Amino acid sequence: MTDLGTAHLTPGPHTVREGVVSVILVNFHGADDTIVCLKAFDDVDWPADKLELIVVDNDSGDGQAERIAQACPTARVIESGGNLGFAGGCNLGVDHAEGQYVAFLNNDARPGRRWIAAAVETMESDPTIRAVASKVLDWDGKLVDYVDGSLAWFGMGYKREAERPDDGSYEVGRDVLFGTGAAFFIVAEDYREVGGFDERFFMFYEDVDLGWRLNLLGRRVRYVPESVAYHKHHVTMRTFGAYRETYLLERNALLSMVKNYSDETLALVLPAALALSVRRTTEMGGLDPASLSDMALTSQITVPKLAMSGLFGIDYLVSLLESMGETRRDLQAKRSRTDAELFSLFRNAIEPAYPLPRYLTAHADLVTALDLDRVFSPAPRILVVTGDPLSGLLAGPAIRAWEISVALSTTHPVRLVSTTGVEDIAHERFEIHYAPGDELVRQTEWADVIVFQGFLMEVAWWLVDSDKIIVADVYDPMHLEQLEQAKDLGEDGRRAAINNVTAVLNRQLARADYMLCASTKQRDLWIGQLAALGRVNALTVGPDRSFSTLVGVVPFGLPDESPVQRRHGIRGVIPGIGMDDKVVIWGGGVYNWFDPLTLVKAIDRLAKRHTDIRLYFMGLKNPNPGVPDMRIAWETQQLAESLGLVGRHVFFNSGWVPYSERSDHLLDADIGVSTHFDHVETEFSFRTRILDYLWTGLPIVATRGDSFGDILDEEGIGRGVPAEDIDALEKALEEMLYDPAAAAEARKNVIRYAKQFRWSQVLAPLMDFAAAPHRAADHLLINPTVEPPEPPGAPTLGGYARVVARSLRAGGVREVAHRARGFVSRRWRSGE
Amino acid sequence: MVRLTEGRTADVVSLMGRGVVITTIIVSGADTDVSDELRERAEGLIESGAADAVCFTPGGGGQWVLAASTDVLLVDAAALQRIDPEVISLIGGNLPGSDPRTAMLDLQWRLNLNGHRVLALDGHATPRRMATVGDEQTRVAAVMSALTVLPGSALRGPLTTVAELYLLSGALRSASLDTSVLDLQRSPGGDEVGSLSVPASAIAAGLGLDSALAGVQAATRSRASVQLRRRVPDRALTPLMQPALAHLLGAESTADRTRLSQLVDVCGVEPALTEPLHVLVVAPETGPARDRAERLAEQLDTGMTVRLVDSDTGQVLEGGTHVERPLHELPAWADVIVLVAATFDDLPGAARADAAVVVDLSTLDVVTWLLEGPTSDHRADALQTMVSRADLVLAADARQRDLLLGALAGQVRVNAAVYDEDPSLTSLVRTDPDGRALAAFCRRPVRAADSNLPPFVPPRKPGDMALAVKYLREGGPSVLAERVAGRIKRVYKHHTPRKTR
Repeated sequence: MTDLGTAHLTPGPHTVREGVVSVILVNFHGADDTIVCLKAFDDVDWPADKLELIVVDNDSGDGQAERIAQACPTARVIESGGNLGFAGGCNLGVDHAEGQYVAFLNNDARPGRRWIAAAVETMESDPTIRAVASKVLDWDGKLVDYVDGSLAWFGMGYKREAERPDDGSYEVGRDVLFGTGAAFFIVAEDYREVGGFDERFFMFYEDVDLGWRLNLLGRRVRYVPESVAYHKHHVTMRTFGAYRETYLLERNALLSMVKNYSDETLALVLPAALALSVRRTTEMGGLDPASLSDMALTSQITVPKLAMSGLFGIDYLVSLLESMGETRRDLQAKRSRTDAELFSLFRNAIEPAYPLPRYLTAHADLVTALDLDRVFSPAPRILVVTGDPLSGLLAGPAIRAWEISVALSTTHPVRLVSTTGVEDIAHERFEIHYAPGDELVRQTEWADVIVFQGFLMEVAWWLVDSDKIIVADVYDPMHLEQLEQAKDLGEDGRRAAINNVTAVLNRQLARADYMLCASTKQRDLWIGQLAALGRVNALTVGPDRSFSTLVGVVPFGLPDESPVQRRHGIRGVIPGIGMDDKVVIWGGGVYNWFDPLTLVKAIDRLAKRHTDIRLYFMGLKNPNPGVPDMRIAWETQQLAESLGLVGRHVFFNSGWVPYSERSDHLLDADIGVSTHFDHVETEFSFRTRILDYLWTGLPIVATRGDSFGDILDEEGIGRGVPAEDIDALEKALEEMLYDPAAAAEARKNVIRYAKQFRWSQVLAPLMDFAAAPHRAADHLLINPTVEPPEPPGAPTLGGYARVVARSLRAGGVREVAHRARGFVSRRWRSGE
Repeated sequence: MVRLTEGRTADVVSLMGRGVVITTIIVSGADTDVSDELRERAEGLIESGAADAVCFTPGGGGQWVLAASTDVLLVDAAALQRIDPEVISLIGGNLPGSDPRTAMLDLQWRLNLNGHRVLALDGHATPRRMATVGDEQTRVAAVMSALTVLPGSALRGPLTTVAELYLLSGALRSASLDTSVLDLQRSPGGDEVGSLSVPASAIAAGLGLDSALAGVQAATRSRASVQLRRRVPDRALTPLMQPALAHLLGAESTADRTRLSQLVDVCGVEPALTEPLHVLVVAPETGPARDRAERLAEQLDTGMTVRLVDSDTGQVLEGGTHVERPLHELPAWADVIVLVAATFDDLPGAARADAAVVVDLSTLDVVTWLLEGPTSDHRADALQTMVSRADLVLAADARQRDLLLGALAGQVRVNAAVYDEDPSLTSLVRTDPDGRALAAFCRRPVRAADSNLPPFVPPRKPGDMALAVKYLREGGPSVLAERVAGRIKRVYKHHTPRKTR
């Protein structure tokens, strides 16, 4: 039996000439356009001996084939002997083509100078790209015709950007679901393998179907903005009436769906698409079904043809069900990508596309009833929450939340939220919000997945019983940090702080579906704590016993871009630090677990031999008002003062350097330094400032005992010294500052070593989780949410009572009072 | 002839003499000519418990049906308790835009979903009389609504697609309409006139599909409620589904049924309609429980897919072959889950699955099992979870049955819904030494009568403001003042210390 879909694309064998591009034009009563198009190839930058021009004439008559052959002797004109439509004509052309690549160009279009070269270069540069969608502009090159292919859930392709000015917004290449058949390239072998254009489509959407099919089969289609063509739109169809075009669009959309959707998606959307097709076309044709209800079934009725195009299209589908079924089975068996993987290429699947009132109502009802927004959502919505303020001045947690948002927003709709404040900060790909109180309810409602650090579970208690997917970023073992940080609070205060923070962490660990930590050592700590909470069980431990399904290792990262110094931040700016001085930088805050005292003492000794040594503390005041000023910062200043170093060899920035300006400071330094006391916090901490040193290529001198300190010597990126060892520190600083060979070697090694910490690499575990986010198996199967989540709208008395109870448990009356104060001030600020 | 199935005989005894009330439901506008003899026979079947409802249809012949065209349905009134009253109103033609015949089919299908059985006896069913485009629009809209509500998630899409294609293309073909006139490929044209003259009958079904869109939201709400409370899985009903679909779509002639059958085939729905029930049996690796599980698997070998889970090793066997599936994915696969001397801990997720659950403790002495467990209260918890969720509990002997009945009562499983359906409670807990009741349940699984009932909301004491409004409405300010004064007195008395001698 002849395959109706590929009747004019024979199995071969075909002659293939390496590097040759065969351009195929289909002519149907358009010889004048075709000749203009062919002549335009004289101006195309592509060797003539690598170009094959083929015109398939679809039995236009009137001697059109001869006219074209005469006007353009370099083109081969093939007479099809009948009207095969665009699909059949192209297939016949490819059957005669000898090029390694085939290109389709509408006969009412013309190629730009680099139309071929840009497309071929792209396919040759990346073998996974098997087809190229050209940029298509109107005839004058001013307005967009095609720069991206969008697909509505009911199978209709559309061009969102059509008729917008070509204002430079479409100059970045990207993967697309389909290109327009008006100007499209594909490797000839692939075209033949996948069966070319489906001739059952005749014309319209055969290009959508081909692109969709290629993507299903794992062959990428790439939009290449440098490959440009110019197009007069729909010259051919205007001659035949709108109803014929509508009929073809309606039925071909259904054919595409039947072929390409998975069983599950097809079962959901096809019945809805069939009904919508009827409504869309009856309304387009001005036929109101309600007005005919009294008419006898035996009567004859005159109806607009346009109104029948949906019904007749469905009947065509019925007549082809058997052959479509065969094609579908074959295609679905070979597919290598899921529907969900392709939905992002649909761009906006929930686009009704036709502004017809009755149709729009039905469309909206179906979208709601079938929950299509969720089904076709290109990706789950992710809310990243930080307890740090978001502004130009970012500290560790906020930097991490920021970089997580930047990475996730390349693939997901993302919002970044701070529970403490937002000021003067924006990103083109995601929204940023300050979310206190009720605003936090709204933000968490929006999200499918919530990635958070710190204390979110305490303020957003409704999340505990919700079905949201929760990712707890526990890169900071806060309870260990409290061992040092809370020393200033007195015995009772310290006990309370440690207890409270441990309870906070336990609550997170008990509820989280996935956790992020900063190192494998940290992961062991968390797994122990999870075990005590009953979370280490057969459902959370993967087959490899790695716990990677529960806890991902995501260290702090470095920006993917190299640092740029726009102006000097230290040299020649800070009085007392000259352009040729040796600058040691302390690249962050001064907290109790650090040991800047030993460092100041070492600098004091070095200063006696090296008058040009300068130590610069980059920030004493953390931008988060919740981080208290600490005793050690004051002691450090006192010590430096008593040694007479302040303003001569030791310098303090009493504020904080903006995140975006930190490279201006770091690139002014010769080495980066970090010294701390020896205790358990140190053992599990991950120093973000060390990453800044790596990013800016600084050799590092740091205390051993944490995740970085121990590898400095091993990797040759600096020197590790024992805690509180002034001699060792003095020696290490001197070597890195005054031994040019050692410093150069360390700098070289830093550049090599730093590459693994690019954010794009370290965030891979989170990106993998986000690609298929899910509730933790033990939550889903052992601890199901039995009660529906409390309505997160206006808090009820019961809700308040619950908060009070939790606060009492967490921190006693003081905690309740603290929360009450916060509540009242929030209400006051919001004017409630 | 009515055929009683295995396992049903016992129920008949328990149902006898309980005072069955039979409701007769008649399709609006139907010619009802059920003979007294036929009616008495139907009533006898319902009273005896052999069927929950009886309809009369040409060629009925005493077959179980999911839905059959009929003018009259006799039904045990108790079976109507979970049915939305709106369906009955639609059958009576009491709501605007109703299609009584489709509503009658809908009712029968819903009865089946709720675990009730509808028997078809030979009888007359008035043929549909479709006179206007509006009649056809109403019918098609009702059919689409029924198909939105009734089938489970796996079948809804495929059945709706088949129905749409059948209705639309059938009407076009019956009218011999040339649908290629708009097709440039098949009809190259020359005709630039923008309109067509067509028989109204050819496009009425299409216009009905348009009308159906207006009811999408209501049907979706109805679906949520019906699917939440259903007690029988689709795979237990699929053998009856294709004839029911034919009735629903009006495919009464042989030619129509052939065309429908072809569409079912070509749309790839056939495999889903013939997929056997999935039974998941969890049992220990060895011992009497294992023997019982293997006997069950042998008994169910034909016509069902049985997977045997070893609760000690987690290994899964199907037909003696090892199946590589994660354990926690199995509950979603199953229509019936049988725990033979096993607990929900052995099959994570099973307690939340939609499947019917049999807790088979017939190889155990429950008290010994509880006492010999770990010193923690783990086994008590496990028992509590099992009796809370079980649709059928099997015990070793009468004493064990009493003990388990107590455990069930403690979890409020001995309740009005279960008792009203079967006062003997045999359908909830019973002995089953030879495993026949277990096999019968697996062949026709029905969730317990109290499964997925809406939560009980205790009546609220009216608040002060509501009482004040009530008194004002009832007697004006004077009554309100009187009541308030009375209340103050009571409070005063209550708080005044009593004098003692």
